Amino acid sequence: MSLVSQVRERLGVEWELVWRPPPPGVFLLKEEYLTKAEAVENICARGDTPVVYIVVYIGDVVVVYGRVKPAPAKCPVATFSKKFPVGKAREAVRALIDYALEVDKIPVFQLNPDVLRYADLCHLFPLVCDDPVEVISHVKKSREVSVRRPKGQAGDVFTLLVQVLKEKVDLDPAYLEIVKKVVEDPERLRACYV
Amino acid sequence: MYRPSTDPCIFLHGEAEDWPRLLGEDLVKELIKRFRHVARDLDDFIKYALENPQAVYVGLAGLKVGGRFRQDWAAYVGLGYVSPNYRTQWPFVENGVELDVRIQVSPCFLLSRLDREVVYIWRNRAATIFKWVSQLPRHKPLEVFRRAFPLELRELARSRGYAWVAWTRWRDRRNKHLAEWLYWLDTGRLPHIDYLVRRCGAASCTKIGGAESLYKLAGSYVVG
Repeated sequence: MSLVSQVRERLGVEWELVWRPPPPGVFLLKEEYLTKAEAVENICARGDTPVVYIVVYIGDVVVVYGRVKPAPAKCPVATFSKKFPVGKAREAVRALIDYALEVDKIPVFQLNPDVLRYADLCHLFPLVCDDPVEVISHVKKSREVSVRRPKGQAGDVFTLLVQVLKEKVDLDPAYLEIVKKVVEDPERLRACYV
Repeated sequence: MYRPSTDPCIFLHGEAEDWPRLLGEDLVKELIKRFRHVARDLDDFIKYALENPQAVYVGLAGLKVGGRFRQDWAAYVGLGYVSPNYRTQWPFVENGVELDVRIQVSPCFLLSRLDREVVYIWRNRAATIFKWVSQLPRHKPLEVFRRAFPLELRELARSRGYAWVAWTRWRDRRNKHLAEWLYWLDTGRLPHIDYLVRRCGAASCTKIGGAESLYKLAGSYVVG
């Protein structure tokens, strides 16, 4: 089954497909995680793999989900779109997020916090939105869990890793940024050691 | 096309009665319509904008704005960019005081989308802020900065006046941006918008209070 058919099947028939680049809008993912169009054009040159964008319209507001900066000139570009009524921003953005997280398995920290705030979805992704109150409450919860857990039972490498990272973050909150980078792109970690 | 009588900084201005007056009833209605999912009325929207300033531009896509401030609005609606420059024409108050506080961006800059260039400007032109906060707050910046700014610095503005702070120096520059910050933190309003509606006249902004003892607390920021 082709990529476009898979996307269509996942989204449903109410999403319109056009073979052209998406309109200008705000991207669901942070800009630094979008692949440059030139990098994709080399791949397209080897076959006919299309670049897929999914777009929601909320009145004049356009939110675009795609993993490539628009628009690679040498690639076929498929854009799925759906219009939502003004006032349904939450549902519209949620549809894009569900696709990105469930189908493409995008790490949540790649989501654009401005879009989450606009759609009022920060309560679902408080760490992405960097709400200090929420972050502190999460840290407190994780501390309570770690206190309840008996020590010295699990000797596996993950427990050790969690313990080391927790100590690092406790000593220096700025270390959280480094942990986030690893979560965003675990392959980068592999590149350091393999 | 809407013709507001103010720039996009109004999204950080917490005084509800100024909004229809400066933006016009039609634009206010349009804003509430566009943000219907988070705001039932103007008060709700003002609260939302003050708490989430970097998200407001997302909902303004396609808004057509003309008039005196059209360029500011075009940059904000199209690019999510608001200039870091100060807006308030502070009345001149002679003083030779230098403050060791490097904040050369306006609080309005909080509305700008945080891309790499904007983050660089924050770090470069408002380096002192990052002694008080580890990173720029995306949520409730007014509350965060009210807690983060040193009390002695805020007392300096209250005792000597905001215009006095504005005409102090950081190296060879004046502290006009810093004065806007201190005014905003104290009132939740922006001074240049208060000037537009004639709420903040020269007298009230330059008046020197009697709190000399509080002024002494600010000694650590006064150079020379």
